[in-house]
Amino acid sequence: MTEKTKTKALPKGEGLVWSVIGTLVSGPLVWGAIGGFVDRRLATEPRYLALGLIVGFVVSMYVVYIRYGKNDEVVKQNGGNPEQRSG
Amino acid sequence: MGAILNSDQANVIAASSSEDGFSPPSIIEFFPPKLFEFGPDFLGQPMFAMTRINIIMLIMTTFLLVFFFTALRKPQLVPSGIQNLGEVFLDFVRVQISEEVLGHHAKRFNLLLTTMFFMIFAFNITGILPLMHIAASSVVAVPLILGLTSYFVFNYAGVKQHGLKGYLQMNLFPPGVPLPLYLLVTPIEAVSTFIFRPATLTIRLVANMIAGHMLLVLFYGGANYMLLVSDSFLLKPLGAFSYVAGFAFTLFEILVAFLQAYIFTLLTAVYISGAVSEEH
Repeated sequence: MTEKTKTKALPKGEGLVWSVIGTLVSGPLVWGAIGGFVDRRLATEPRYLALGLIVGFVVSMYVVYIRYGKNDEVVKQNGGNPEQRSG
Repeated sequence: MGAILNSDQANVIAASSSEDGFSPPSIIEFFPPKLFEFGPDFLGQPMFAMTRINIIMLIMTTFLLVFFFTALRKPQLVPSGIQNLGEVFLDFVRVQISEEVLGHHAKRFNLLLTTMFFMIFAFNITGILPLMHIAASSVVAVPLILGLTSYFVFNYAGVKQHGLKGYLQMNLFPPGVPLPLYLLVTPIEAVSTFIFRPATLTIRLVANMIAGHMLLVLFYGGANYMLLVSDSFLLKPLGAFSYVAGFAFTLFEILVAFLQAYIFTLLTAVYISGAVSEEH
């Protein structure tokens, strides 16, 4: 723990876990709520609620991939990709 | 918070739940009756009131003050005794949380993080201290204020570092997303960054403390009822088991008290680090 000059832009370990969980939960929540609202307005329950939940979940997984999965730095900080580890 | 019941209300609820001699733990224990009230009149009653949880908070705050004051009043180059202990504690937060997460920003926020850690730990540990037996942080106002403090600090630090526009752009528009998808992505990022963070900090801490207290009351209350009150011979071994489980959970609560203080402080540091980071 000597190289302390570079700021870590991304959380790691425990912090990373909670950030990912937060994103995964808020996706269905936001788009589910919007879907539910549209349903109420148009009296189409539960069509848009279901759509919102699915879209929200997919998009939040996409956000997790964009934020943390694509970034080599995060993988490196957390011990490397286990699938690529030799031996 | 204004959820202090008067003692009559508390008694009615307590009496209704203990008809057969066993009183299960209930949420009412986190709203103890007020012990005394003072201050100018406000809406027909005195403005301030103290419950035993408030008094526990005062005791623990005083304890922290006295401890760190005596530990660090006359620091020696080679620490010994209580100074040693104080330095070990302070070093733990500085090295394991501040410097680990914040790097060269650590110095600016170390004071806040250290205060947060020890305040939360002291307030949590009262859950298992004799005579107190309730975590001061199991009243939602305490984690809420801490969560809001964390929220304002990381947002302020972020805006100061990047300017309002840059800060919002950094948080709401992750790079590498096709333009139309921002319509879907940005609301999620807004909610997870600006609404979920203080809410989850608060709920995680308060729920852990409430659940821990409930478990302890349930096991010790059950042991007391089955061993001492009940006439049934069959219940005695179960009572013994309940007592052992209560003891095990008391040890577990020490771990939880530490862990929740650690995770709250760590996440605050992580949020600040995310807000002030140069890359992204």
